[in-house]
This record gives sequence, C-alpha cells and structure tokens, in this order.
Amino acid sequence: MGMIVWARTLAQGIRKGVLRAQTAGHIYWTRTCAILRSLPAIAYEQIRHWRGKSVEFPVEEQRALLAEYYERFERLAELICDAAFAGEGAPFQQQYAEVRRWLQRAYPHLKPYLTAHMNCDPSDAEFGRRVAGKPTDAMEALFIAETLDEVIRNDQGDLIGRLERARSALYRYSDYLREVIAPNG
Amino acid sequence: MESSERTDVYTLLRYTLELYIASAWQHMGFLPDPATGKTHVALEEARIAIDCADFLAGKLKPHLEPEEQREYERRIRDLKLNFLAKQSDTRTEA
Repeated sequence: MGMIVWARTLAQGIRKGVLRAQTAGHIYWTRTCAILRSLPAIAYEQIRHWRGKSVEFPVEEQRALLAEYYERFERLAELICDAAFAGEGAPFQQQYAEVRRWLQRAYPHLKPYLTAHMNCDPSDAEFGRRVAGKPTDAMEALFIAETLDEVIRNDQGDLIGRLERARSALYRYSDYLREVIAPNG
Repeated sequence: MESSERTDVYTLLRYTLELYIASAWQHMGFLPDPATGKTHVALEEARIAIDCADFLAGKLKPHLEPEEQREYERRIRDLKLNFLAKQSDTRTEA
C-alpha cells in the first residue's frame, strides 16, 4: 500500500516537473526568437551609429506622425479641459484611457525631435515625480497619470500653462518641418 | 406686413450661442460690459454662461458642417481654458 502511494507521488512529481520544464522551455524559446528577430534592426542601427550616420526617420514620416499626433493631442486637451471645468474626471475616463494609450506609444518616437522646440518649466518635471515617480516634460506630464482624476487632483495651477507649452512645441516643430521640406515656400 | 421667411430654431440657437459666448468673455473680465462700458469679473456667472454655450453648441452640432463644428468646439474650449486660468489666478491671489 505504502509502496503504491509512494510510486504514485513520484509519478505525479515527475509529471509536474516535465510540465514546468516544458513551460519554461516555451518561454525561453519565445524570448530567444524575439531577440533573434529584432537583431538585424538593432545591428543595422548600430552600424549606422558607428559610421556617424543618423538613425532619424524621414521628414515626410515625421510630418505624417506629427499630424496624427496633433489630432490626438487636441482630443486630450479637450478631455482635460472638460474634466477640469466639470471638476471630475470619471465621465471622461474611458476616452482619456484610449487617447493616453495611443499617445504613450507614439510619444517616444516624437520626443527626440519635439524636445528641441519645448519650453521647460520645473513644474512639469515635478508633476511627473509626484504622480509617477519620474520627471516628465510638459507633454508627458499631460498623460503620465493613469486617470483623469489624478491629472486634476494633482494640478497646482500649472495645467493650463502646461497645455500651452505642449501645444506651442507642436506648432514650432510643425513650422520647422515645413521649413525643412520647403525652405523657400 | 408679415415677413415671408420664418426663423428656424437653428438660427435662434446660433444667435443665443453667440450671446452666451460673449457673456462668458464679459464675466471673465476680458470684454467690457456693453451696458456700463467697464470690465468686471464674475466667475460663477461666467461658468453658467459657458455651460449654457456648451449645451447649445451640442444641440447645434449635428446640423453644422465639420469645419464649423470644429470652430465652435475650439471657441468653447478657449472659453473653458481661460476660465480655468482665471480661476487659478483668483485662487492664487486669495
């Protein structure tokens, strides 16, 4: 009797071990594949860096991204404005979450270019530190908070100025791109 | 003598909307009151004027061209932004 129970326990242990090994194997295989797939792009960028070439994406693509970004930004500004005016963020939260998701994905591509056109204010970095534990610029500070309520609750009177700083940066960057594309026009 | 053209409700809405928008700017102290020629700040009244303008713009929106819709949205947003800025200034001063 004792022998049978012992044997069954051993068999179950082996089965569990095999399952764990399979799961771990699957995870590592997926990660390895992902790294291998991304290698050529990384290596290509590294080579361009070593040769002193820029890895920037073409001006036309920047313009296309900026145009789409500007539309979403205006939507965000409208939501923040409506929520601040109403004094509560909950009715606008779902739309905020959608716009925020998009902006969070797109902003890292735009940030290296936009930074040059952005006016800095200590309150922007401070807002990021307070809400998310890391400094932010005027643009990031507008969508760093997970909820719209947090945006309003943590406002210390800088929100409107921050919106204006972010919008002005977009305008200036857009003007700059226009100049780059058609310097004489 | 009767006029042959009737005033539809959308024309009336536009007219009223413009009145509320102007009133909001006046109560925020950006425009002089036409009756007194002086500026004054009455933020609670400005808030009501903006709320009414927002509501009327919402009713008018389905009957406007996209370009006009955006223009009204921009104007209402400007009002709200200025209201919030003014409110923030007032709190700081107090």
